[in-house]
Amino acid sequence: VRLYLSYPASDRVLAGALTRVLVDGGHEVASVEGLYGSDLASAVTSAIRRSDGVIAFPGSLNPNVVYEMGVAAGADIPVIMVMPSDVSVASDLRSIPAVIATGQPAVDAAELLRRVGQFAPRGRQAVRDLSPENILAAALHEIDAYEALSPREFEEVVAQLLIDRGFDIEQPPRRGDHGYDMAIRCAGPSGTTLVLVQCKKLSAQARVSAHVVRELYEAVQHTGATAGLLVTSSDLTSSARAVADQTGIRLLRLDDLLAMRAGEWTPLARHDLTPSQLLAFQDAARTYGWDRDTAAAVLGRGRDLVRGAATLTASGHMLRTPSLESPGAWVRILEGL
Amino acid sequence: MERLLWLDLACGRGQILEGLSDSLSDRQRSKITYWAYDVDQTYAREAQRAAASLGLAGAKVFVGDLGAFQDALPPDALFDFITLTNTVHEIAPSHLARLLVGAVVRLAPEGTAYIYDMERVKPPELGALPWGAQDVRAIASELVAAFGAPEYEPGVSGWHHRTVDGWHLQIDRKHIGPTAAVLAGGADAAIAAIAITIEALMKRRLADCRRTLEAFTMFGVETAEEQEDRTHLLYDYWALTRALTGDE
Repeated sequence: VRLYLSYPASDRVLAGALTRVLVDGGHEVASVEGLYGSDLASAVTSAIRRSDGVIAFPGSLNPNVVYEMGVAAGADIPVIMVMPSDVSVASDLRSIPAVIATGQPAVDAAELLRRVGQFAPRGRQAVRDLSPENILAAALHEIDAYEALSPREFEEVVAQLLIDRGFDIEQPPRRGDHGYDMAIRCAGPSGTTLVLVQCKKLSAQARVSAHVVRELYEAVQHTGATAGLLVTSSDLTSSARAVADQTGIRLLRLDDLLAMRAGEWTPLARHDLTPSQLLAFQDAARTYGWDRDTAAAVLGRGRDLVRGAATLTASGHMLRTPSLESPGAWVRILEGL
Repeated sequence: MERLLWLDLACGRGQILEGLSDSLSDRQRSKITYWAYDVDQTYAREAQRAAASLGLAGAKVFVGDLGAFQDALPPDALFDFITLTNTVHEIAPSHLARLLVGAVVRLAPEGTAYIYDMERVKPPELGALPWGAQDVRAIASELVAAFGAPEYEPGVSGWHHRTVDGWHLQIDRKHIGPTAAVLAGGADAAIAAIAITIEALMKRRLADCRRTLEAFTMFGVETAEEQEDRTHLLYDYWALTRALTGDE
């Protein structure tokens, strides 16, 4: 069976020894080792949800261990605690199955192996067997599917979806962290533009903090890219939202992502527009069904025109005018401003 | 590997030597001559002892301010390996360009400079200015461009660990064309060009820093990450302001 080992750093040696016993017993063992970054909680949650059972060392009531037991409880995944005999357990945990350590490692390991053998493998469909669209659609609508997706898989699935949808995707150099996960390269009448994409898949309860937005903006500045897109289904903190507004970093929700098609999507140049003007421009492009070239042509007509158009659209004026459904009519009106 | 002369700038107690007993054979160690440079004589001596206990071919100690290392070393000494570890955040930005150029100028034709540091100092230190991998990449690009090798991209990697984020920079001298003498002749121009880049990066960082701090002031912090971020940004803000106003 697949197991997740939850332990505090102080029990790392013991956990390592137990891992070897369990692996020798034919089981797969995952743990927090090798995971890092601000997506850590999501990566841990994903690993727990993919396991058939959790072995926890809550002896010192380490907050991470207790949190991970809670994740397992929420996902209906069985837990076995490994407890020293002289430790008093918190009242909420008293009825959770436990292996009480005898102080004889061989005896304790044998007992743990026996108990682990009672875990039933849980049926699960491998992520690789599903299409990116299906994976993201499931993640959008089902909390179980969302939480089971690891941050790394989320990033890979987003990249594959964009490729499948016809986008020209460029990966950053392999070495090191470049502050973005992928870039969309868009050819248009005014040349090629580069839009950096950063995926942020956090646990459902988590919020995207301000530094995530700031770091993506730093990458935009360093690479000379046109814009930055933050793909996430988590809410942003108030400060993160404010930084995004000021820097023009755009958020892309899963439903927006699933609706994106290469021919229908417009990369927004910064053009000195405020983020709300950029947003209005993209809304107008979507509302009037512009393809990429049409939108680029409108942008290419000059900064003032775009600014005026976006401001008008933001006021709702253009969106309420049914006769302006063709891009050409829209552009003619704009030219007369 | 033939004879290898290694200069360890800001060597501290020689912590970098600790892992070598496992990773280098006795034979390899016997070919390495280690020169330790530090502002603290006690530290430098400890590093020398550590080198001796490892069985390195030789070890010398030089004591002085990091910014003056060029003057403290024999003028014709070129190194196969120059290291500067866990120190860049302590270097005043106005001295950073000179230090980097000095390291490149002192490399032997096949030599390598290896620099690494943390992206954030934990706990933060007042006046320290840690750099991020992306900024280091920009500085390194300017460095090699200033020496006439704009096509060469020195290796810069940012890395994450559960408790610390960091970067390392590797500059291989063989990709930078001119002879040592020509390189030294262009040092002042290179320092000036890199200093401009560093100043521009600091101004950009200050703007980014201010923007986020203003958001925190207006909306407060809503996660533990933001709490930690705010503290570091306040320290960065202080260090950047001092550096940009020439008060460092």
